[in-house]
Amino acid sequence: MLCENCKKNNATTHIKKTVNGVTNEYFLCPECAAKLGFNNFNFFKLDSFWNDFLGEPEIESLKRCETCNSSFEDIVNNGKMGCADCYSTFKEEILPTIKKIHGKTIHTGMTPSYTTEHDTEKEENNIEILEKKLKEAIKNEEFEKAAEIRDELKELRGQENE
Amino acid sequence: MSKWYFNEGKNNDLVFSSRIRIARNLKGFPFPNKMTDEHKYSVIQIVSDAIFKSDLKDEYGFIDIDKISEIEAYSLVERHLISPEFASNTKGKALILKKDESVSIMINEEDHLRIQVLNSGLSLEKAFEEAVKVERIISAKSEFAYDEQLGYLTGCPTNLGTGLRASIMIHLPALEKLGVLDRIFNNISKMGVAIRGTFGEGSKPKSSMYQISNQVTLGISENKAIEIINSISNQLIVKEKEARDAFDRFCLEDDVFRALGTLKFARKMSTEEMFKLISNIRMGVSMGILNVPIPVINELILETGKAGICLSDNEILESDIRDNKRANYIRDRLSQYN
Repeated sequence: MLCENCKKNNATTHIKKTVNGVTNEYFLCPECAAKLGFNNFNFFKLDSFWNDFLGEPEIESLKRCETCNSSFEDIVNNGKMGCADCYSTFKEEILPTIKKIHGKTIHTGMTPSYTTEHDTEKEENNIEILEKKLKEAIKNEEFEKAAEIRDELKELRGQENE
Repeated sequence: MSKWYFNEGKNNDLVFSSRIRIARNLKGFPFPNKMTDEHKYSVIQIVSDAIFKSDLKDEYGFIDIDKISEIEAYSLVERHLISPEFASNTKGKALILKKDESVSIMINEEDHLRIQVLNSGLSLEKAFEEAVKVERIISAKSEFAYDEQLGYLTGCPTNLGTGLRASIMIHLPALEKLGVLDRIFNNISKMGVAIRGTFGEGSKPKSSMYQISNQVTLGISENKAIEIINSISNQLIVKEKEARDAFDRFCLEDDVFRALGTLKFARKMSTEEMFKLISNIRMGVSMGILNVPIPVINELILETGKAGICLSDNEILESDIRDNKRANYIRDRLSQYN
């Protein structure tokens, strides 16, 4: 289904809004939903009583995880992801929450290729790891990710100079 | 094999335990909240095969949580080997437990795997090493869900990244009595570290025992997280010792011997009263007032909980009977110490 606003992109968000007993429904793409202010998904939602009271629109995402069929609403309601693939499916939606919890969005710990035979003493410092990841992200043209890594590097270097 | 708390550990008079917990999920299965029973049994099978076909096989045992009694399950909670949620909703869950109870692998809790290592005293590095050893044995047989950017993927985003929770349980009766704990904890919590009371209800537990653990798991390496908890622990140990010196020794000795007297002669003992009295005994041993081995004290608080004390009967006993059994158990274990 195409977005009812721009009529170009695929609609991924279903919005139901009831005003004075008249219900209107819209199907929008992520860009248009954001532009029109319907992107306020968040782990801490008002409960439905207040939603009704304040006339907040019901926003239902049409996007579902292909592996476990979770919608982002399911994840918000459970407070848990359905499967590992949910992280890539809902990356945009979940990253702000991850940033809020950890203050960071890039892993710097153990990796699956590390084995106990390796010298555990010689741990690369976070800056080196991030620099490597930055180069890789640029090489793969993942510029959004590169920008995130750059921000964290800036923060880390700032801490070191303090 | 004697249990983990009989081992000596650095500062084990103040630090009851060091604990490492690593969360992991197997690639190709949804997380436990979306799993079918069939998925759950497959994951149990894969993990059991990995452990019981490895060099570890003789040191470990398998427990089907669904097949044991409620009392047995809750006694595992009291010994800090499984979570209360794990004991209350048991379908499709299993535990692989090292015989000395220092390592427990919960299968199908919030994540497919929760590998936990408990050691006595301040020894997080050693506990981490052992947890990694188990993790690598399982990962050699089955790939874990991992993302280049987000690290190890977990059911709840709060565990993303390393999936590591490093925690210590530390005994702080003198700082508590001085009324300075709130201020100290306030400062510590700014470093991304959580503090809560343990052994007993509420934020000021009767046991004066506190759990300190890292909150952040993404963007921080395992070693760094452990280093932070270690450094906080060492500072707390120094402060607690200073605080003890600030009290009148004669009064402290009186508290310690009154506690020993009650524990050695009482005929009824609730868990809350025991936690309070044991706290005085632990401080007495730590200050050289008493000569009771620390492992004996640890045994009393781990093995005589509400469920633990019912284990030998394997039925739920009335609270009066429990309190009497607990008093007898404690009397027996402490009879030789003065």
